[in-house]
Amino acid sequence: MSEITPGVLWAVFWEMLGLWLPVLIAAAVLVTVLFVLVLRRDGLRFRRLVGSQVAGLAGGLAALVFMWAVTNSSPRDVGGPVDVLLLLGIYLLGWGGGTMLFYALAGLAARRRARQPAARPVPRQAA
Amino acid sequence: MEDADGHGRVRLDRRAVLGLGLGLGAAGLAGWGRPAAAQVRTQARIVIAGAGAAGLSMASRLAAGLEGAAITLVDGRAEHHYQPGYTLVGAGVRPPSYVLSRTRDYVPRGVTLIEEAAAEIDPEANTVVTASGQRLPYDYLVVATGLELNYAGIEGMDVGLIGTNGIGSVYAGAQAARATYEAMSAFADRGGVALFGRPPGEMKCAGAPLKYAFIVEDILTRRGTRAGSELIYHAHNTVLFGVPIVSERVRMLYDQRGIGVRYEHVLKAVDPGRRIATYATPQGDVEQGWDFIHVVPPMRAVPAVRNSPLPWREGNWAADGYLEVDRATLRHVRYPNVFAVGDTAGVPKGKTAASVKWQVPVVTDHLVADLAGRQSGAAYDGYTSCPLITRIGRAMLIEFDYNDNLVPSFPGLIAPLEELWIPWVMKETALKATYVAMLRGRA
Ligand SMILES: Cc1cc2nc3c(=O)[nH]c(=O)nc-3n(C[C@H](O)[C@H](O)[C@H](O)COP(=O)(O)OP(=O)(O)OC[C@H]3O[C@@H](n4cnc5c(N)ncnc54)[C@H](O)[C@@H]3O)c2cc1C
Repeated sequence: MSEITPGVLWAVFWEMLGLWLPVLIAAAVLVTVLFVLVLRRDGLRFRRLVGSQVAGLAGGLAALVFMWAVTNSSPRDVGGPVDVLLLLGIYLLGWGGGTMLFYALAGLAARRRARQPAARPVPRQAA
Repeated sequence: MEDADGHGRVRLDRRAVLGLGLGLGAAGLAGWGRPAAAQVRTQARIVIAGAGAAGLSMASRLAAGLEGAAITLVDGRAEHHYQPGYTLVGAGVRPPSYVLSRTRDYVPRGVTLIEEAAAEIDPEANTVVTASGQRLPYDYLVVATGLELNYAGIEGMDVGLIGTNGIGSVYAGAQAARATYEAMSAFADRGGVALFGRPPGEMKCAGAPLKYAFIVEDILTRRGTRAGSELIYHAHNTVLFGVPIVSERVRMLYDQRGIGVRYEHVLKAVDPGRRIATYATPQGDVEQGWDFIHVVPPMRAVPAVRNSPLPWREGNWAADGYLEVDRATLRHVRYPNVFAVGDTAGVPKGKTAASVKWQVPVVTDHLVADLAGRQSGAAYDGYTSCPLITRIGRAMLIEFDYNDNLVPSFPGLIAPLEELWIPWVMKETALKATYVAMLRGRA
């Protein structure tokens, strides 16, 4: 009775986010699916991955700025090791999500460029 | 049931959840879960007096655990108040709408809500009489009427004064909390003398008066008016908080932050026109002027409870009318078919919403066990929790039990006496959600 079951977590997140909860889950699923599709289609493109990871750094920062904004707090409130862990966790989530998003978008963009009757051929390695 | 013996197990579960990175709301979740799967069939008439945090949670749990019971909630207040949010409204970080909703929205299916106050409780006749004279016979009664804010207990004080003459009080409701912020904000622009304190006797969220002093100190600092200001906290006895280790920690922090402390000072009168507060002390009455004062009124059980045979007849809680219940089972000592949940229970500590979420499963289990003809070993250990805000952006996650032990949800991870960002983030993002999920019996 005192356990935190997935049902309990769902109830709490539902009360916290309301309709945003399914929207956020759908967005996360969409990005993951696109990422996997692009990965399966093109294989792992090293330059594209590094580029996405670099762009993902901004995603991490955006996640932190968002968190500080919704909680009326700021970097100066980080008080102990566990706060640094939370900070890193939020950053990594934003960074990982951002990387997958940018990678998927870059893959889709490359495909579109490849499909367009290009004036000059798109180099195979382009990200 | 786990609550009887499962403290360690519960804490482990909660830690595991945090480990998964999912557990921002977990500290607020302690002791929550779904009621036992199998429903008990019964025709019992159960009346729940009071549809606040405790009453609504009880209704949800009982409705899920019983089939065929006639469950009736009695409460004259149509609005529901998420009271732990008052402090955030008083700090100016949330609007009053953040804490307001409608009681009706949380009433579970199959439960009847009578929108009237209980005027009389007669445990000899097993009857509750509503304000309009409707008689409600019961087989079981759960008293969850919260407590009464007795502003009249301070001479010259009135709820209508909140927001005027530099007077604030976040306790009196959403609008009062907002008016408190406005009075405090006007004061913080200029600076001056700010007075804080708490009443003698039991009170809900004993951390709130301390938090508000921290918040005001922080806002003065941010506005650049701290240097010309003086903050004084008045403790009603010789400590700042009932749990010694917490009291010492707050004393140290107040010292660091330059918040003065006066012990054994009880606010007895205010003169709004002259802005003079009078404190009763062992040495006699003392007057103190203010530019801003945060008034926390004495509290006691509501009249319908005080005027019934249910309160303690002697001891600490007799005068204020709290119910004479067993501290572990919350069952009435003289009327075994009566339980108390929430602020109105005559037990030490336990006057927080976090306590409610530990108490409700215990009372539910005892009541359902009675109806099913079995014994329940469920016991409430006094769990009380309070994210003690020390400035906008930081808090200490204070959790303790009847024996003044700290019972941290995340031992070794979230230090209970450290000012941290994470408890603040929990308070801001997850606590209201866990509270509402508790009302619905879903968490
Ligand atoms: C400023 C402030 C800060 C707080 N901070 C925290 C915090 O950080 N964490 C935390 O866990 N808790 C906190 N709390 C405490 C928490 O809100 C209460 O402990 C909790 O609401 C108690 O629930 P309850 O159901 O006993 O009382 P309430 O929620 O007050 O509900 C009582 C209900 O009974 C009804 N009632 C009254 N008289 C009658 C009658 N005669 N007949 C029928 N119904 C009646 C009322 O209308 C009300 O709806 C805070 C409280 C305040 C005021």
